Amino acid sequence: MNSISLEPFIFTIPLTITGEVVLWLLWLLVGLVGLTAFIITYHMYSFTRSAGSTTLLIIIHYGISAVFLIAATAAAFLFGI
Amino acid sequence: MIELQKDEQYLYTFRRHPIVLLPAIIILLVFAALPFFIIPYIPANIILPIAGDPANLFTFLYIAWLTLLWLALSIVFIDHWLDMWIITDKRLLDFEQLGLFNRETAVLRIEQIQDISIEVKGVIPTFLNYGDIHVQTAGANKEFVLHNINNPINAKKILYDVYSKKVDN
Repeated sequence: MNSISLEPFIFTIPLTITGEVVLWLLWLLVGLVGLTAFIITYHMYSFTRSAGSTTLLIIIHYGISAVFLIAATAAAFLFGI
Repeated sequence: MIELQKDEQYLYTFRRHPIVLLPAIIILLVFAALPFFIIPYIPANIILPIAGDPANLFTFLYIAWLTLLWLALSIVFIDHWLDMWIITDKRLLDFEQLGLFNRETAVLRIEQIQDISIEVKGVIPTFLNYGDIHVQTAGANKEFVLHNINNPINAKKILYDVYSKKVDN
């Protein structure tokens, strides 16, 4: 009975995931949070002209995002950035 | 931006029922749990060049994934919140957010309204009191529809009152 070897399919990812790579990913995440906050502010304020509801939404957005970002930073530090 | 005419008076805003966000929330929760179902199926012969503890890297990537899902939820919410009908004493303004950078606006003069009907279909809409409201018009846009509106019976009453006042004047 013939058997198929998986040997040729063993591969490695060329990029070594170092602390520096993780740090770049963290900055990317911070940038995305900021960009989303800008988009939310733009949409809410340009449409409703309500500073109160826009501010409330941004506080909620940044508040929850901050929890995630702090946790991600802690994990990144544990990994070794 | 919503701009009212000088002698126009704002009366009411209709929005979709918050329950319509539930499918999106469920999908995001499924996506949040997805890594735990995928990881066991990653072939063992993949060699990951990691300069550190893989558990910490996984934690970091998982939190990053959750952050992205949270951002997606924010955008879904904005899309939901900016879909609305605004009723004034003169017009019905229909705003539909079709994506982050795609918004449709339609305006209907109150006196153009010909017929208002509501449709509450299904068990959940009946119990949670939401449904579609259809406004037949005499204009080029034959029908205005707002789907899954909160309390459609009340919305119909408000629209009918505004229409009656306008026609009587």
